[in-house]
Amino acid sequence: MLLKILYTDQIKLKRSPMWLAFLFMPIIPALLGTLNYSANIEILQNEWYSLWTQHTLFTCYFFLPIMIGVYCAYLMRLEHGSQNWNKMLSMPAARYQIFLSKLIIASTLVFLSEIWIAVLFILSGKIAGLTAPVPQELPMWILCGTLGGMVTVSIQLLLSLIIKSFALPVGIALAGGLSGLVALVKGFGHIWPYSLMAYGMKANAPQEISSNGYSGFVLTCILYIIAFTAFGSLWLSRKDVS
Amino acid sequence: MNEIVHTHGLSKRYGEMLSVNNVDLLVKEGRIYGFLGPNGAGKSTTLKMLLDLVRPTNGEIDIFGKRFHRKNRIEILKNIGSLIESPSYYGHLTARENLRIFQIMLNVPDANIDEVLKIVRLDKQQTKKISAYSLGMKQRLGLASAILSFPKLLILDEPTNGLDPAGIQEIRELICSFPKQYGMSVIVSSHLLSEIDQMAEDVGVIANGKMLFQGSLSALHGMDNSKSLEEIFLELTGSEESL
Amino acid sequence: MKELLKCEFLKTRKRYILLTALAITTADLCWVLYGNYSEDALAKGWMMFLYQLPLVNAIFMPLLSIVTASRLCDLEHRGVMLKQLCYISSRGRLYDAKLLYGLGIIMISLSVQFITVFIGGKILGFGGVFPAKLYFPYWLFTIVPTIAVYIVQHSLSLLIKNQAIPFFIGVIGEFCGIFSMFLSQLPLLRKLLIWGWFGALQFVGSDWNRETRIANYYLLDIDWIFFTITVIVTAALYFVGRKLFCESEV
Repeated sequence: MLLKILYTDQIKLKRSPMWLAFLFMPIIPALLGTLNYSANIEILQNEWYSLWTQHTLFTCYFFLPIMIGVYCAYLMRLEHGSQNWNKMLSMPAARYQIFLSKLIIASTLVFLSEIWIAVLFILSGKIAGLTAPVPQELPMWILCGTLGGMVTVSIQLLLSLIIKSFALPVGIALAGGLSGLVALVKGFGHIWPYSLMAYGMKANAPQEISSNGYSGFVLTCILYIIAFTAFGSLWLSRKDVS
Repeated sequence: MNEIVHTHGLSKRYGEMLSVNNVDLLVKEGRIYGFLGPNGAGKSTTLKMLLDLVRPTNGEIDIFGKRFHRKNRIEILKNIGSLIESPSYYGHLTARENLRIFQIMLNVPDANIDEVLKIVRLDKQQTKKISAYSLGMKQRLGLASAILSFPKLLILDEPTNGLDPAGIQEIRELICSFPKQYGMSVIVSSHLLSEIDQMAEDVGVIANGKMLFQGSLSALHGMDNSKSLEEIFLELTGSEESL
Repeated sequence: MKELLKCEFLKTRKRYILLTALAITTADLCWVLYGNYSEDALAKGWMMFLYQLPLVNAIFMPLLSIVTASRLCDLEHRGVMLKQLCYISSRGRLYDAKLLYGLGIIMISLSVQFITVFIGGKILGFGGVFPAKLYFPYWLFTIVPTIAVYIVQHSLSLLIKNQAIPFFIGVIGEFCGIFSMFLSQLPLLRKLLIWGWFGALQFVGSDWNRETRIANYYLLDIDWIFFTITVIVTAALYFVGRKLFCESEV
């Protein structure tokens, strides 16, 4: 049934070129970040790692969280409009699967964005003349970034489900992105939900090897995702459809 | 005759207000049940409770002879089609694409889409986006998605809303054919007493959340043969009460 | 016009639009004012702010505009009100009234920011007299780009029913603007993008001495001609947006 719901959610996204924004957005830091890197090459001496900080800095704390916020708001908006919940929730489908399906769709887009960011990163580095091999940690950054991004997705889906306004959850996503930066600087970036994406992508310290490895990070992400998904499913199950 | 829906003491409280008060709805299989009442009487709320869109504060619901709860919810909902309040649709998609979504979730054959589009006469408009549809066309689409699985039970809330006189007659004839042709039982809630008069076999009259009358249409007429249905209805529900 | 503005006020009751704007402003202020200030930093505080604030504004002001414009216009789309309103009043006046109301909220937020920065600087003990002569142009150079961005967001949110699109355009524009501020080798880019105007109109530079870790701030020439161009472009954006709305189908 989940697969069926996923397929129907795909149909709902027809003629919705939202994903284009996720295509354009990473090009900007790739282009300009690389230019900046080339211009300041005497200061930025860590080659690939310095380039990575250029590419991910604003992306992780601002633009990805906001874009995720907008996308999740849009996904939920499709159902809030035209009293579509009346129809959706009278379908023979488990309520948690409806939430889960949207989680999977948004997370897939985050994953594709991460891959695109990686592709642009490698291309930019080559164009900037970096001869050292591409960092081996890159796949891990991408995967961990996706996992951390899924935490943001689950929060934003929940917020957009509960709050019918479009802009308010996006405003919260903005605040969340900022709070992620604060949390990282203050040292609790490994447990604050909004900083997990940046933490996973190692946006500020790409060469740092985390002392407890990746298992702690993965566990934290999974726990958050389960918690928010469970809350969202519970809300869908219990709340009266007005 | 089998009872397809039977509620026992169904109630819904919103804060101080009892929007549905101890309602014992009884719908017989293979018949058309007209659900009448003024605005705000509790019709939509009652129907929503049958679809698990609203949780009852009190009371039980039996559908298809089974007690409705969490465990058999999906089984039961598979056999119910509905159109509640206003038609639900995704404006940026075409009629066909909208129906495809429900077809997949209800697990019914592709051919059903063509059939229901023909039944509601939208087959020539199926490639237009719903945002370009008139109110009447949206209503027809809502009806199409309700009958898509040719369910055992059809729940229709104001199905003739927004339709022109020809459309109203068409839909009325359609609804009348559903029990005979497809074996469906139908609950129709409406304001249009003349329509219910021509469609329903059984009626329930609700006002202020309380069921004031339930029985056959002829019995309702029989309450006072000298009066029209409208007069009987207004007397029952109190003509000043509208909202 | 007064009645239309009153309508706007009534529409926004319980929508907390001003509150949301002030919340974003608060985030902005926390970002600006928080930090450990060395003695040297305190002494040069006023100039330091004139150097740092344009970047912070480039981050927060567009976001403030996107969210405020979207919330004000979205309530018309959700209630399908435009059909009704366009009979009651001319399209142009509707556009103007809503724009004025939104700009009012923006100006309140900006004023809160300016005043708090001033008070914050005083409390922190920035050295010297408050250089009003420098802050006046700074205020101007913050207000005009913000208005330009707001007009764009306002037009987009009114014309397009799906609010995700103005959001995406605004966020991407902002992103480009911020990045253009980092590209010192392409100063033209900053001037071409309205989101980069915060940086293009910046008139305090800094040189950072690596060894002593001391920054010195110096004044750059103010390009009043460019500023005049920005004002003209802002006015043009208003006329274009208004015309598009008046001619759009509802």
